[in-house]
Amino acid sequence: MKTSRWLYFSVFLLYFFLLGPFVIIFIAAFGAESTLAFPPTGFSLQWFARIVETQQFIDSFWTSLWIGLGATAISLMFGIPVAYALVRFNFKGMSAVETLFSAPILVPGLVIGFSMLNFFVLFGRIEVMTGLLLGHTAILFPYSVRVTSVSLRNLDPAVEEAAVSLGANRLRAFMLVVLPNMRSGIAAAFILGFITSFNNVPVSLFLTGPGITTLPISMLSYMEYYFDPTIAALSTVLVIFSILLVQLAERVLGLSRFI
Amino acid sequence: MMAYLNIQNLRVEYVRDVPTLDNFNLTVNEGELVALLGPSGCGKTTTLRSVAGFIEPAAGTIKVAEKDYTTLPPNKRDIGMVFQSYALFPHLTIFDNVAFGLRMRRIQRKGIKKRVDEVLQMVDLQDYADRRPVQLSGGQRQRVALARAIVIEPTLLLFDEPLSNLDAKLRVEMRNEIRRLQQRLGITALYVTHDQVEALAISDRVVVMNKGEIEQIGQPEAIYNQPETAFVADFMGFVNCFDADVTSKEQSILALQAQDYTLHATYTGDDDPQRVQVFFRPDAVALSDEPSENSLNGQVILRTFQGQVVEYIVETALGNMIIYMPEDAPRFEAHVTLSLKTERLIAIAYE
Amino acid sequence: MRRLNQNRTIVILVAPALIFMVLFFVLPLAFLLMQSFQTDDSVLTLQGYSDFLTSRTSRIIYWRTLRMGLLITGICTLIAYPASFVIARMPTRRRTFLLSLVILPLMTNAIARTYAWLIILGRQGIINESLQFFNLIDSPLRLIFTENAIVLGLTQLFLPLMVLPLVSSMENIPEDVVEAARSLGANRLMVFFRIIVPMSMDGLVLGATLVFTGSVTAYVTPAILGGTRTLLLSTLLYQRAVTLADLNRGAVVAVVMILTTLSVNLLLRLLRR
Repeated sequence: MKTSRWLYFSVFLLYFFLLGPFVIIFIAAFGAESTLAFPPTGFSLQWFARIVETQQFIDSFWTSLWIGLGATAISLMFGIPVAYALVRFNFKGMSAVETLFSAPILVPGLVIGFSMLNFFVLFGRIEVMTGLLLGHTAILFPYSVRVTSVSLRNLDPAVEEAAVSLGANRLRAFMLVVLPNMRSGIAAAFILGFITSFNNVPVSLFLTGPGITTLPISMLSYMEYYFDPTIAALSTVLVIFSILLVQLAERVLGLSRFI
Repeated sequence: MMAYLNIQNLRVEYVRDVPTLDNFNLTVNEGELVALLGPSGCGKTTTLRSVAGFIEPAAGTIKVAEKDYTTLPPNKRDIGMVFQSYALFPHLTIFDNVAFGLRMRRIQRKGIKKRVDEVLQMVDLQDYADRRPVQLSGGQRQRVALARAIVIEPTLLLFDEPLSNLDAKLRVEMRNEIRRLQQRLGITALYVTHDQVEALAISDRVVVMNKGEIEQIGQPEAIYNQPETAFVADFMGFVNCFDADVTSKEQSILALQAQDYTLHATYTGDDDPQRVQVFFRPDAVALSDEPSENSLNGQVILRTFQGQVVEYIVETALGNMIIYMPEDAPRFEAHVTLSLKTERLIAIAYE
Repeated sequence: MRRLNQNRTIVILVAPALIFMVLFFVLPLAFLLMQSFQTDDSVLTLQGYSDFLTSRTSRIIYWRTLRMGLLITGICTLIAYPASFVIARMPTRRRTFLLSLVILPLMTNAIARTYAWLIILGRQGIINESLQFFNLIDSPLRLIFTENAIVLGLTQLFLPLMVLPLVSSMENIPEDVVEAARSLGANRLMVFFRIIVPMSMDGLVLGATLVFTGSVTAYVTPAILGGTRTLLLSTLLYQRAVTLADLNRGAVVAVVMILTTLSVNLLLRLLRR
């Protein structure tokens, strides 16, 4: 059939467009030339070695890792109670709260980063790490509130009442019954939040400072001065890293359904 | 007998100044199982949840064994509750589900093990202690919910439509099991349901509720046979109804005039009503060949076979009547005479 | 009494996060808005906005940003719509696998996802090298730092955001509806336009919103593939704010950016109803 052949072509086009660039990066990463020529004429692992030799990448990787873990943890710590309030209660200003906590998705990241920079400058210098942590935490709220809300909504409210009728006070009922049943939602929010923070450019762009920078920002600044395939090698590592993370998520979230 | 659960002048408002329940009074004796029966929105669940402590009454008092429960937090009430959705803890084993209440009471490990095993034995789930709720069938989950509620030796057991998620056969089994356990342990219980048969079968007394008011309280037989209000009659399956004028009253028998018919019906009230509604069930009718004292004439306009009975719709001067006959007696469009027994014709005064 | 308790509980739950958000999100944005109405002498003025509107450069950049946003949304729709239709009709396992391939790029940072275009479009990139190899050109073409390069990069970047909502809306079209239409005499094309298109409208509008606002605000790809030669709103904002350190005029661009994305969001949200 003619129509379906044309339809299948669009699927091919989609994946060609989505994945083709990754293939090119993989190939370029193993090239021998020191410029961005394609196809490479020789095989070499030197660009992978170059990543590890470049102190800037190592330092910024650790920064990104800590900021990602920290910001996600903080946003979940503050965000889960909000999700709980939104799901379990009806109160005045509820939709305003809901809108506020999803706003960081609607406002362009560049604007958020810029506004925070200006604001921090207003109060004198805030430490770079603190600034990054605060900025990343703010942009992660939509994920931590929304994703944990979903798992809360799937939990029968009567379960909590059962715990209370059996003698637990509200806090104990929450800790002993609600929280354990939110596991998969919290894990999903954590992974999503971490990836969002780890990959963020627009907010970090303004909040990184002398000596302290995140991995994506250091990649950008490396590209300004060097034209060798180190970035291709680093991108390859990051793609593999994200494949592993997605697999891990699948494993964790998939398994938790059966435990 | 002394009132064990005592609800007085209870008023509940979900929306300010709009009472869902108002001036509600109910007493339950020790060891009694009382069913709250009514359609959805009648206030039966609200009553139950007020007793559980999940709803703060706007006014009134709730006492259990002379102790004031009205403002006591729900976790301090020692009330066992069985939920419609079972509300088992999905992340805990059956053992831990049942042990939850005991752990909250800081009972020693050994004591917990002994009590839980005992109760699991009672509901015949001793082999399932290590499973999780998802691995159990609906009936088994319901038994876990029951075990979890009784293990804490509650002052009161509350059931919120506990059988509505089960299929018909299991419902009867579980109903009997709940009743058996409740009587054996002698626990006082309040049982909410919208199913008439269930309420009649399981309880010592039935409370029929409608729009936040109690329509009638009584033993199942009384509710079934002598409804006191039009609502209860309708809810209990008195599907046939006609209006009549009262000509005289002698003890509990009313002489009635309904159009051309002269009839006698039973009336339980003490007053002398002028005009009444007369109710009767589809199975309260016999067919006769000639007009007698209490009879209506009509013509069959529809017959449908329903297995145990054949249902006829008979057109009469007083409206269409639904009657059940054990066998296929009259033909379609046949003219019939419906003979009605006085004790099965229930008259209810117009309010 | 318990109602009071409940209010207190809600406050305890929401207050910490709310204070955080007001302090580190709302106030900075409010301050930014204020800044956009100031000049160096700190007076309240519309100067920044009138400069933006009258300057030829910024007008060109603004229209370029909008035009490219529309173009990218259009290309994404053209590729994603038929593809999503096919994916949505696939058996669950194959569909899950294909969708995970769509999600994978979203898990990787924009730099890694844009970098390939430098290799493809660069002076010594795939295209220039092959054109020279076949003697079609004498010297390398300037393919990079052009509008087209940005369009290619952003289309690839945002395709997943179009595919995901489309597939999820098309999955929800029950097969019997299609069969019912067929039994009533509709041919494939009529089924497509009368059933599939109206019933996947929500997904399309959501996808278009995400792709358009994404394109209008993206920074990394325009910065790498457009450089300072082909500026967009985002790269202009960065240039003014960081390179020129002109915070007030940067704030003007930021506010224009927010207004643009918000109005598009609102407009398309109305369309969804």
